[in-house]
Amino acid sequence: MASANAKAQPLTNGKLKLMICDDSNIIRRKIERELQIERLQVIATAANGKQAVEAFRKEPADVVTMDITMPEMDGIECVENLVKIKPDVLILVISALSDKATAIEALKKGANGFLCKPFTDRQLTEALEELLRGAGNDD
Amino acid sequence: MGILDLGRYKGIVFAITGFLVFIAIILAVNHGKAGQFSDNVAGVRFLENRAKQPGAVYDISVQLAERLRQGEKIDETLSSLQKAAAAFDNSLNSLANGGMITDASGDVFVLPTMTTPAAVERLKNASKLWDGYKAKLNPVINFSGSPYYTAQPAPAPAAANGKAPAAAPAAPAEPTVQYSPRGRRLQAALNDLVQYGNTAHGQLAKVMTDLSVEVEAASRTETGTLRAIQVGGMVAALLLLGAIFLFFARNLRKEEAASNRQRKETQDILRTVNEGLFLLDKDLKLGSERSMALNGIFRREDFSDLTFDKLLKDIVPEKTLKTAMDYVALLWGERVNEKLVKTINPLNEVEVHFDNPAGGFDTHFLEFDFNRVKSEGSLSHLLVTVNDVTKRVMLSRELQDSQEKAQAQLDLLLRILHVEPDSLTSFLTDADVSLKMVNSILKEPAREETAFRAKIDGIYRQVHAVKGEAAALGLKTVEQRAHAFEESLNDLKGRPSLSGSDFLPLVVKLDDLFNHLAQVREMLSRLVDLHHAIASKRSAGGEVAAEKVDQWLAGQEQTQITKALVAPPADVAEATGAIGGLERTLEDLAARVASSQSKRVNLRCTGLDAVPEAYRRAVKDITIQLVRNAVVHGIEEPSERAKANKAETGALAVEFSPRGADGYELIVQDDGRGLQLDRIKEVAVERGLITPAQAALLDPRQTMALIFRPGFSTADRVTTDAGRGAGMDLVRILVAELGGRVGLASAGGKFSKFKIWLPTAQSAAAA
Repeated sequence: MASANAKAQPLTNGKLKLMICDDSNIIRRKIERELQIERLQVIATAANGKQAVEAFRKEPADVVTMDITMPEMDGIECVENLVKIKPDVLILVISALSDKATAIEALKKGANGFLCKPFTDRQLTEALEELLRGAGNDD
Repeated sequence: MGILDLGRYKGIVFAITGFLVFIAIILAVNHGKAGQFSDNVAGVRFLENRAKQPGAVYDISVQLAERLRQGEKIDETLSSLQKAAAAFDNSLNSLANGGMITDASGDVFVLPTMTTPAAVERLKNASKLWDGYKAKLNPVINFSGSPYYTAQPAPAPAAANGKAPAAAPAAPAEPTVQYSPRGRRLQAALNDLVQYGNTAHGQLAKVMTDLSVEVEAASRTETGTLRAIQVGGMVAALLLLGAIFLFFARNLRKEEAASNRQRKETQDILRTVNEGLFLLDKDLKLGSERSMALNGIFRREDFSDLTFDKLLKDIVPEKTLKTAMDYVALLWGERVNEKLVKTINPLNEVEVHFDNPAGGFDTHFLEFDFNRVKSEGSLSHLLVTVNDVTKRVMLSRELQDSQEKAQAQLDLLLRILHVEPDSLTSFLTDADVSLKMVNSILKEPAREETAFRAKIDGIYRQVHAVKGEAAALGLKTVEQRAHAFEESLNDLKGRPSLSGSDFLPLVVKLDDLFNHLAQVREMLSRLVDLHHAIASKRSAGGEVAAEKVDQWLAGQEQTQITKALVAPPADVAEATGAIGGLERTLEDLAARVASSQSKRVNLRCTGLDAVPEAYRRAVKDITIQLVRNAVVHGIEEPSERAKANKAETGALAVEFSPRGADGYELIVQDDGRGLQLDRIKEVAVERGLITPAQAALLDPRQTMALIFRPGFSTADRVTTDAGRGAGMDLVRILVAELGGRVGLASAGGKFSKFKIWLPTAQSAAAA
């Protein structure tokens, strides 16, 4: 399995590793710029599912933000692959809410939460904090 | 839960433990008392036994004295006496030392009775008596050697009793017995002993017997106490048991009452709460406890053994149901964060349909919310909250509608402010006439296909005219409605066969258009009112604010409207109903269409104020159509005109002139590209008006005539400006209706000229 050559070392500063996956350069930059969570550090960005899986194999992130509609490999397939590589990865799907069934499909594949586009920096921060609080956590 | 964490059972466990401890204490006391009792019994036996000892000592001493008198051997008897004395001495000492006695089998008993003062006194007397006795005994007991002379053989008178006398005792009756000095002393001591013992042994025996009686009495008391303790213990145990029972019965009742109250409260809540509440288990079955509101929300009474999918199956589309079930399954999973998936809840605001018993179905909007319920750390249920949000959804839709309507009205108002007042009032009057005509056409009886088609054509012309004028004035909202009306008519035209009921939707459209025009009229009248209010205020005192509003109204392009509106409202329709408004309408139309086509045009109108009343409407419709056509089709774009060495601004002229007895002449001429005969042929072929073969045979005049055929239009797209293909057809029909003629002249790249002759008004009326 691919996880055999994955370097799962934590960052020396103790932060959690974040990967941003979105085909829109604007959205990727927006997430990166508006990220206000000290515990997270962006280690990779990907413009499609394929790039994301490749980057993830080299260095698996702890947290991933994932668009659904992307060229080459869409978010749903990508989520499935990432979870196979690292089952405890936290994935926040960030997508336009055009079709709830598609979003649910991504969550069925193993994503942990959903954030609707367009989003404000505050909504992004809250969603990521909720994500870090733990999957399945409803306190 | 630890083993000592007894929870609500703590009380009963403590009570039972206390009860058992109490019973154990009673039993222990009982046991102690019973031991005492057996000690006492042994003591009585002991004392009765010992009471015989002084008698035994006396008997042995008498026997010893007798033996000595007979000169028999005394060793054994003496030894017996020693033993008997020692035994009694020992018994007495034991009793004096606190009642500790040892019986024959070596068991030790304690006789507490011996420590009572009476017993001590008795024992003291007995000891004194015994001390005296011992003083008499000692010389006898301590005797050693032989009481007889050794030379004298001992006779054997006692051979009969089997005893071989060791020495011949001194006997008064037998002077033959020879005593040694010791023997004489022994005899004296024995006599003394027997004499003393005769009275003492009875006294000692009595002391022992008394003691025995006393112990027996004590024993009887003990037995009584024991019985009392047993009875008391039993009574106390029963009382304690009763108390425990009462206490717990009361507590149980209290707990039961509390739990009943809680259950009732829960039921009250579930009966009263407006939300539909229920629990879903892992098999998606609805729990037994649920709120009454569910009955109303889901229009059913029976929820037993119902699963969530069955609940939704008949009221939501299949796709929604599937998505909803997927979503619920997600919530049962471990990975998903409940808070982060609320936005994709497919049942957040879901449209549901309930069968209506009266037929059809009722549409409602339901809002479902799901919350995980955890018990002991693991997910046990999903709490589902359902609300009927139909009113909210409807309100928000109404709000949105009214916002859109308000926006449209504002747009309309702004547009009205831009429109030249004469044109507006003239348009409203004409449109009213047109729509009334449409109404009367709709009412006309018709049975045949041709009659239906004729009706459609008649309505079409009227609506098209309204649309054209509205477009000319830039009244977008009116134009859109008229356009929608036209679309409906086209739809009817395209149908292979028609019936009377096909016209019903048109009535609704007509009504819509009527209402809308009424709104425009209403707005106009309000504006007039406003202006009058401002004008009267200004004349009264001159208010700065009023001045400002007036300036705003008058500002920029609105100078015209204020001028016109100064006139009293009643005059508006009449005063502006004149043809003077047409000139401005045509100018506006030309400017607006030119602007939308990126063209530049200069319209010059002459003689329009001379149009007789009878032709006013027709001239207006005709000129609007021709001016629009001229700008759309005739005038070229500035760049094209520049290439052709023409002025970038196209020239367009509308001239109306009386021709005396010949009636009137209306000319609409532009300096545009002229009629493009090839293009006309192409279009006519495309539209199926002629065949390609026919097209090839047409001369220029015949080709030009094609544009008057119904369904012809050269504009590529159907827009509100042009393209419907009804324009020239309408002109031809209008002119024909008035009994006039249309002439057309055109030179490619140079000009187009439409010349229309109309008969005198009287002959037109006759026609």
